[in-house]
Amino acid sequence: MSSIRKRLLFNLLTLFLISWLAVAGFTYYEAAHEIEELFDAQLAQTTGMIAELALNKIEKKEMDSTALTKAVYGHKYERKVSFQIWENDKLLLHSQSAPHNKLSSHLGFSDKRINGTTWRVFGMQHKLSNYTIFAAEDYEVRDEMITFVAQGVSIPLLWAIPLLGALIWLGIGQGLGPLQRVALEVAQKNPQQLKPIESTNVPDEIIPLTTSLNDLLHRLHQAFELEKRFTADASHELRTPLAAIRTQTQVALRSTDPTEREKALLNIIQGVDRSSHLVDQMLTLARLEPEALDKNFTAVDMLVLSENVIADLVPLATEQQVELSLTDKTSTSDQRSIRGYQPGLAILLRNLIDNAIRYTPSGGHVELTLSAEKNTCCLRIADSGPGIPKDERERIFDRFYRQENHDNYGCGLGLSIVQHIAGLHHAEITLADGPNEKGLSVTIRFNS
Amino acid sequence: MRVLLVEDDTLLGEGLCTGLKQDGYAVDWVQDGMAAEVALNVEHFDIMILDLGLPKQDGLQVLQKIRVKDNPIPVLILTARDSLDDRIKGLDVGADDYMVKPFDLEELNARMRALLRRSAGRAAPKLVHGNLALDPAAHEVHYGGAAVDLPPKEFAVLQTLLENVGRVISKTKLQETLYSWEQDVASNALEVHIHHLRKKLGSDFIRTIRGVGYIIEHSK
Repeated sequence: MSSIRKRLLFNLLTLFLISWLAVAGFTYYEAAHEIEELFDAQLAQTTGMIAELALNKIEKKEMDSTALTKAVYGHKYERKVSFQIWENDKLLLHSQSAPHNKLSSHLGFSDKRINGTTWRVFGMQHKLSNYTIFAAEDYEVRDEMITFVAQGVSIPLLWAIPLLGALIWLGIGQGLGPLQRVALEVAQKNPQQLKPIESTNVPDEIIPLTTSLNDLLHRLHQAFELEKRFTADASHELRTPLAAIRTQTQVALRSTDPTEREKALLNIIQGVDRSSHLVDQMLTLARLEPEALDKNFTAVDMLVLSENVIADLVPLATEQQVELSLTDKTSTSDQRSIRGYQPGLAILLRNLIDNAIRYTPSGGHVELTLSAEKNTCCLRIADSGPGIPKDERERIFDRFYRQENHDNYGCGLGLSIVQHIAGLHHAEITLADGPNEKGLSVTIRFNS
Repeated sequence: MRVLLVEDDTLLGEGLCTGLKQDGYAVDWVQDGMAAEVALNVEHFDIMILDLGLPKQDGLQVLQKIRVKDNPIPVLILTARDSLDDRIKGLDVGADDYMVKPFDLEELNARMRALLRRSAGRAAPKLVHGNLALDPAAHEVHYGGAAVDLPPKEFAVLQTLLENVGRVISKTKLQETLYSWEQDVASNALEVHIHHLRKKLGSDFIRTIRGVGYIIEHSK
């Protein structure tokens, strides 16, 4: 039963039924007891009355049981009363329904079975004579009375159950109204409509729910905004080289000057290269989703990795006339080993060193230093390039951010990728001035 | 016609420069918002092609500033920002046209011609004066029914004068229209063009106002 409404109705009705049964049982017991006492008292009274009437008649020698019976009559519940009057062991007088042997062996109240029915018997000794008077009545009367009382209590309640059920159903329905309203509001949410749920008129019980929902909606909204901005930025970044390629192509087509045409054609190639570089970088970023990486973490020796990356970049460094060097200050292989995603770490290193080489004027140098600080593997890439002003250092990790006077090669994604990979490895990146306050020094600490 | 091209992308800027020059425009190209503002303050341009995402100062800021100064230069925004909001904002800030990258060079040209036509205060695509007709789109001049072959510079001088019939155009203004900064211009280059035009269209077609400039007078 998953509906709160049905469950509440079921629970409440069960509870109601149990308490009603308890009350009914108790009432029945109390009523039965009171009725017993009432009837006993009445029986005793009747016995007394019979005694008086009988003695009166015996003294007047009018010993007629029928007359006496008639005298005792008068109430519908008294019809079942029978009696015996004994003088010592001699039965003087008895009603028709009474047996011929003594109704009870002792005085006071007792029960006797006669012809399959149980009778209540009261015996008394007359104060002024030696007569013993017994009066008895069938239990049936009492049972009838008790049943009547019990019915009087139960039947209205039996009628009340369906009525109560209906009222509870409606009541719960009304009580759940705000919940349904919240549910409806949540149902209307979609990526375009992520405004928080109204918290006015929300019952206290579901405020924690709406609060966490609103929190989730807020985070979703931010994530969607980020995605939207990324898509907008990406399309912007792709459109410009595409526009350049198109324009250069048209220039080449229209040109009558061979030199001009060749230049335009070379520019087209450059534009295509730039677009492919951008697409590559965007794909790299897309492939570096956390879910895809977690499973692929292995032990990576940063020295081996650095050597490999540097080997790949030597041609570029030679072309740019920049000197590349690698210094290892760690003492054990444990110190330079980290757990991570090897291809990702290679991209991180390549992007950083590549950047350093490209921004360093010819004749300069790029130094990679591997060290261990408090058992933390630490990588430093320092260059002798122009450096980055302090106020721009935060922003260079933004997607598509490019420094002013940038070259045309970069698309502004390289450092975002670096930061993303570092984040996946819980590594910390710090930017500082290079050695001798010249150039830039990038430090990555792997908090393993 | 002199164009100020504001575009930070080197490859695209270079392509546009060459493409527009092929169409006979004198193009000056700057790569950031500040340089654009400076250029507009010191020189006269007939039209500006403006990118929005620029270093130092956004294109919209540049536009806002020149419109505050009541500069009526026709402005065509050429940008990668394609959202409806951006387009509306661009036009509302004071642009006369809005094109989204990538674009077609011919379309850009046609839109520039339309803007130049409107800024010269006319709607007809062709400039007609007496029995002379100049078609800026086709780069053709017909005089008395026959086609006249004009090199780009002569064509530009004629177009400028035809757009200002009845008004004297100073030599400086004409020179500004013809040449961008990087072009080294011989001091008598304009006179040479005028001389050639007179040879082709008749010596009294363009009148010299000594010490001031040139004029094509209203036809009688």
